[in-house]
This record gives sequence, C-alpha cells and structure tokens, in this order.
Amino acid sequence: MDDPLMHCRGELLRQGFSDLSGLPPDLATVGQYTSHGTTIGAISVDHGERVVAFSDGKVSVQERAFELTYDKIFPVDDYSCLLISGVLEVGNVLVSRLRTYIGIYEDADQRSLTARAKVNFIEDFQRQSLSLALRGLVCMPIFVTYDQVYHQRSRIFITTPGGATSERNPYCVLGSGSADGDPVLDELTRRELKEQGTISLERGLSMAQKILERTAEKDNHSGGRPTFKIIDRDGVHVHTMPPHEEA
Amino acid sequence: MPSYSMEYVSSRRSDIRLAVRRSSPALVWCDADGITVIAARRNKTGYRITGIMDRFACITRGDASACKRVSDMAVIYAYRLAEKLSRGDVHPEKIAIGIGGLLSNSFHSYALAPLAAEAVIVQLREQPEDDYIGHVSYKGTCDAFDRVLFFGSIEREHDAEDEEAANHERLQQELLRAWTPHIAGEQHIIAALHGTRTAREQSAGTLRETFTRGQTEVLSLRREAFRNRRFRDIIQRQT
Repeated sequence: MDDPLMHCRGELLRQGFSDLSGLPPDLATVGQYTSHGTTIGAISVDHGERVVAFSDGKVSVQERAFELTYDKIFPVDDYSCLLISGVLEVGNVLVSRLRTYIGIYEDADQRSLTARAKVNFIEDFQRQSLSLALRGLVCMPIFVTYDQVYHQRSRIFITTPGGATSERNPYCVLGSGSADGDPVLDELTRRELKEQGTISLERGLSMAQKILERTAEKDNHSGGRPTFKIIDRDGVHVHTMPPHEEA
Repeated sequence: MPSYSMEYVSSRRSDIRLAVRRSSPALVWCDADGITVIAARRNKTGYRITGIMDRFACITRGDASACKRVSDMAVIYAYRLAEKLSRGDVHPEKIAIGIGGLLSNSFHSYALAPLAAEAVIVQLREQPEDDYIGHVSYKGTCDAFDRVLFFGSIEREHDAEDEEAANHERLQQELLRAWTPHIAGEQHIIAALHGTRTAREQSAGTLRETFTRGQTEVLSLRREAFRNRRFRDIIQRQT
C-alpha cells in the first residue's frame, strides 16, 4: 500500500487542471477574459518579527472593474497568508488546495508543517499549471508566513508561474501596480533601514498605504478598498486603518 | 463457503482480535465543558489521539502502522469533504463511514493484509447532548454512543479471556457512576481517572495501573471556544 498522505498530495496537485490543460493552443484567448491587474505586497517590519501584507480591492474583467472590495490576502493556516496576483480563478484553486494540504499534513502528524514544505507545494502547483500560464491564465502568489519551526521570524516568498521560488527581504510588490510601487517602496525601505536600522510597524503600514495610494492613481487595474493584514508569532491579524487615513 | 476459506477468515479475525486486544485503552468523556479523550500508550513517538480540523478527534487502537493509516485516512476524509463542501458541513458520520469502508475492505479482501485497528470518531457540538461518539470496529461496522465510552481493555495481570468482559463491564459502570452532566473544569479528568482506579480496586488486582504518568495523553475539545468561534483554542493537548 502506498502512503495515503503522499497519494493525497499528488491528487491535490493534479485535480482540477486535467480538463483545462488539455485545451489546444488556439483556445489561448481565454486569458484575455480573466482579471490580471492588481497590487499586492508585503513588508517585513520590526527586525523580521512581523510582516505587513497589503492588497488593493479591485478585480478587473477585461477593462471593467468587477469588484472594488475584494480581499486578496487569504489566510491559509494560523500563521500564513497567500496573496494572489494574476488570474483569481487559478489563485482561488491554489488557496483551497494549499489549505487542504496544510490541514491534512498538520492534523495527521499533529505538528506544524515547515515553511519550506508549504513553499514546495506552491512550486509544484505552479509547475502543474504551467500549461495554463502559457495560455494566459497566469497566477503569481506571494506567500507570507511566520516560520515557527526553524527560523522564528516572518518570511516572504514569491513563486513564478514556472515554479521557481525566491525569498524576499524586506519587501515585495507584485501585480500590475508593482511597476509604480516597487521603485517607491525600494527607496522608502532603503532610507528607513539606513536611518533607523529597521522598519517599525507604523512605518510599514504607512508605506503600504502610500504604495496603494500611488498605484490607485497610476494603474488602471489597481484601486478599491485596501486590505492590511499583520502576520506575527501570534497569528494573522486584520488591521483596519482609521477612516481619515484610508487610501 | 469452502472449509479452507472459512479457516482463512477465522484466522484473519483472530489475528486482528489479538492485535486489538493487546493495545492500550482509551477513554472518551463528554461533559458541559467539552469532550476529553484520555489514552494510554506504550511508546513516546507519535500520538494515539488525532485532533482533526477544530472539532473532531480520532482515537485509534490496534497495530501502530494500521492505527497511523486509519487516522491519516480520517484526516484526509475530513479535509477532502471540507474542500468540496465547507468545514461546517463535515459530519462525523461521514468520516466514520469512510473509515468503516477502509477497514471493511481490508478485512474482507483476501489480497490485502488486514488492518488490525479500531477507531473512535468524536465531534464537539454547541450543546453537550449533540456531541457525537462513533465507534468503528475492525470489520467496518459503526456504532454511536453518548456521554462516556471506554474503548479497549485494561491490561490484566493474568491473560484470562473470561475476565475481560467482566472487567470491561465493571469499568464502564464505574465511569458512568462518576459521570455527571454539569461537571466543570479539570474535574472531569480527575473523575474519569478516579473511575478507572475504583474499577481496578474492585477487580481484586486483576487490572493493572493503566493511565500512568508519562504514558497518558489527554486531548480536550473545549466547548466555550467552539461557541465563541475561537477555533484555534478549541483543541488542547496535555500530557
């Protein structure tokens, strides 16, 4: 008998894409009917003790805004969040599969899964859905976690559609808004680290807000109600900005 | 059925019974505060009680490898159901039936080695009277219980078959006597352990000390946290 957990992992990765990945290349136009524009990001603050995850609320279908209050930061377990940029349809499947995968492995062994195991699953999922990415259904997630097993600090990972992962520190911005947001955030974090040695939580939140304001002005597909979440050793917390400070 | 086939089935059954009978017991206790599961174990690696999602527990008894497989499958059934439906739609009966199917297949299939294990699936609900305790036998049959379930048999000084039923009955009676519907706090664990101790004393030395320090695991499902939707705080593990 094979290991039921490994068998289940394989099923989780394969399931759901078998029909779509068989599509001929001339159906690649499906990509243009799905949403692509967004701004998501994460900033490591307080010497890596916490991460501020932020996202805009706008979901676009072609050139029209479909939703303005969509929360693109999905908690996948007590200490991790997945931020989705690109096609939400693929992103939602990834979130659902990752939640099931983490739940099964953590409950079966009654211990926490390492950050590397979670990232490996995302990599495998991205590789499995590479044929979808080639047809325009691209998903680029940011995985934010508090690594309580080995490093005892927060970590930020991004995974390409091909399944390559890199760890980012101290910040990461993805989506169509990253073209405007990334240079600004780069400058802000560099200055803060040079002057203060670290980025405080308040400064991190204010930077995130500034980026979302900037991208809402410059990028057609970014905007709507922003969402902020803080991930630390106590779990995932939703942060609500005071009304007068909202972007 | 040919005689050699009957002999084969009988041999499988006796092998499984022996493995299940030799394993350490567990106790499930429902009260106003929640559900407490106490299990004795021989080795320090792994757990006999598996907390699933934020409201279920699976307790297994039998061969270590078979127990691990059964508890893994219970977890997989629960999460696959939650993925298809939602966490609130996962019912313990479904998990018990899934586990029952697995055990039944392994017992009745001549091509596979039998899984020498039994399981209990427990679910915490908002009201104590709605709690679920389901026992799945090695043949795959499911039975539901309420309040208290003593699962398995206490080790005896003398391996006498005829004493097993009497000891089991005595222990169940003592536990039911100790059980009260509105018991609070840690008292339920104390009451449960007191019940087993009384049964041991009444057995005139035929029962061994079972739930000893260092070899007992306790898993509590807290009803207050469940009611307040603080799902992270529901399951607490103690040793």
